Amino acid sequence: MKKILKSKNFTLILILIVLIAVFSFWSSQLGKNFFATSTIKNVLQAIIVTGFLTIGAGCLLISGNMDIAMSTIGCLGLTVIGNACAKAIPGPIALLMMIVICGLFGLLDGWLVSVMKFPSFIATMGVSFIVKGLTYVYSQWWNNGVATNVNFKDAFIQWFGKTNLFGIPIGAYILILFFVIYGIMISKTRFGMKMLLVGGNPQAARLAGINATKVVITLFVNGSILAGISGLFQGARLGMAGLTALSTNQFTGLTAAMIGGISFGGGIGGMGGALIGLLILNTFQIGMSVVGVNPYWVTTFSGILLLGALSIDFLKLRFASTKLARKRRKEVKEAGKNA
Amino acid sequence: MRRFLKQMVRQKAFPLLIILIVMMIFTMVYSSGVLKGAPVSAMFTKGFMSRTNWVTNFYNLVIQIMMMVGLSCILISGNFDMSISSQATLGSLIFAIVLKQTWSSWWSTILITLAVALVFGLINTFLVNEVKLPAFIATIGISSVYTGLCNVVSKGDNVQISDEAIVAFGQKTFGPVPLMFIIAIVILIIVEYILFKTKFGRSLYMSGSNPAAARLCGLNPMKMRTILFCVNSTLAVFGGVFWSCQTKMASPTSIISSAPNMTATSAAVLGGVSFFGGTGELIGPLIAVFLINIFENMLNILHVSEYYVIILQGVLLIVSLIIDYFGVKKREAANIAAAMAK
Repeated sequence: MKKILKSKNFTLILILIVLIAVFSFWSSQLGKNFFATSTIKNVLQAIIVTGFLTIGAGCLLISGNMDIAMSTIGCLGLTVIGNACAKAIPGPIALLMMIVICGLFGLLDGWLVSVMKFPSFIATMGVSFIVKGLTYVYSQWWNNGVATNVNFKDAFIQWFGKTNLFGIPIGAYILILFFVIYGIMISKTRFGMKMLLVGGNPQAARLAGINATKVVITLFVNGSILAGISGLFQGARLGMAGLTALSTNQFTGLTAAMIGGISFGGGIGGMGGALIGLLILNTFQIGMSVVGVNPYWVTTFSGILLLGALSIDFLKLRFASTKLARKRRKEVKEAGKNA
Repeated sequence: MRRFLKQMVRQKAFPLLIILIVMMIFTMVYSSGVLKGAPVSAMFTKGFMSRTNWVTNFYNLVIQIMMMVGLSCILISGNFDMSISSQATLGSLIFAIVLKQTWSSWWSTILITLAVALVFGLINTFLVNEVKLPAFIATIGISSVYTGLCNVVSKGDNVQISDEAIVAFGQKTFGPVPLMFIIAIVILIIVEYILFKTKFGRSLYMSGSNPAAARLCGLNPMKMRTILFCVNSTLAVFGGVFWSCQTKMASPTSIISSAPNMTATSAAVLGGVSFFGGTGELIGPLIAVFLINIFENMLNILHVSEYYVIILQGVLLIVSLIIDYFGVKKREAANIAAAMAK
């Protein structure tokens, strides 16, 4: 019980509960209902799209890397699906095309970072430029030389966006399933252990005979495909493939994962924390819009939220050290009395 | 002389310089129409080498060079700052708003802006030194805070600058070279001098390459970080102020959307500043800043579609990294060969 209370996830859940309480109280003061179905739907939609990015970014962070090209790769994935479906190519094949193309860019990312040993920030920035440009060029190829947003209708693809099970979009179930699978993978399987070791102590990982290159490339490919899936969910609901889709989500996945306690240096963290981080981030943003805070302030406050959530560890440490100091002072006093 | 040349060739930025020169000559020849029968003298007056083209180029370079100088120092000492674009925007907005007030004159405005810049620097320092957050993610958070504040203070509108002295400063040019570009270069030279010739400069390299050893040698990393973040914020904010002096208004979005911090970061890394701290200087990054801008300029002159321009920027970044990679391998091989010969 004490272990649970002291765990980081417990603190995060507390923050989430406090956030929800604050927003529901605030909105009830203003005569609005925070738990209205439309709000919940908005939260869910935002979570579904950014959730896949969070899983990908979280896995990469655990292995000590990051990929800032993910949002652009997701946009490319959506463009691939949209254009294929608009030309009446069957949905499953379009999905396969997306997975292959996104995977290729993940491979490029992984090769640059793990084989060529470039800093992942700079290398993936270069890739993100390439992918962004290619998205437009790809759209030109499929639309007679004009890069445009594409509307598409395909039963298979739109099933992902429009199906509801017990009133909740199917994407939410898929996301939860993914979180569970990845969580188990990280904490229970051999590959997960390898990830943690490669991120936490690359030297030890090498000496233990782990092929870090293979692990990192796998994770980059995995992250890119997950980005493509998040693009799929972004477009599937409206049946539109936008050329600037996900462009505001460049750091969202990274941020959510870091709020959820995945350390920036790698080697620490899990999917449970990432999920709660994601919930905190989205609840906060939607809550702000329900309450009707000026959207300009929302950006400011989400920055403050990020900094606050990151400072938890610091505050805990500070608290623990003062407690320890008090205890020691007491001991010294008693020792003095006894003598 | 021969030794000097040899040293130059060994520099990390040398391949970049060659690429830059080849690119410039090609663009010069192509854009002036010499190939289509124009006189050779046109090469130096028309198209790429024309005065208007270079004035625009120089103006674009100012903010990037200022940011690059600050960021290079930060990177050398093993830190990072993602928030300089939003700092520049917020700083320039405050500058423009204060300038508009009746009680302010241009010099008091500059003093206030300087104070604001120092506050930005101190906030970053606080987060990294006291709260012990990783610099990268702390500054992402801070940049989101500032981006929001930019829209709050300006109410989403541009703020005009109409002060005569400031506007005159923005428009002042010597030949094709704007005054503010000269200031940026002077700052670069001063910082380069500090990096190479002073105790503080050398200690940056030490704390970047081996923080533990630096601390044991009696260097104070916290103090160093405070100075660096303050200098970096000041340079970024005044880069933003220069930008708005030239455009005669401070906009809440234009600097953030053109992302000069990304250009500055990639230029610093291309020019040989290690992303993990400890190595680098400023001449290489300066060449890299020129390279990135001239490359874009060249593609525009060649009428390449803007979509391909984005792709080619990424390709340029990665190709330069790969060139650097082979350079390092070659140097390592040479070192091993030298060691074997001994």
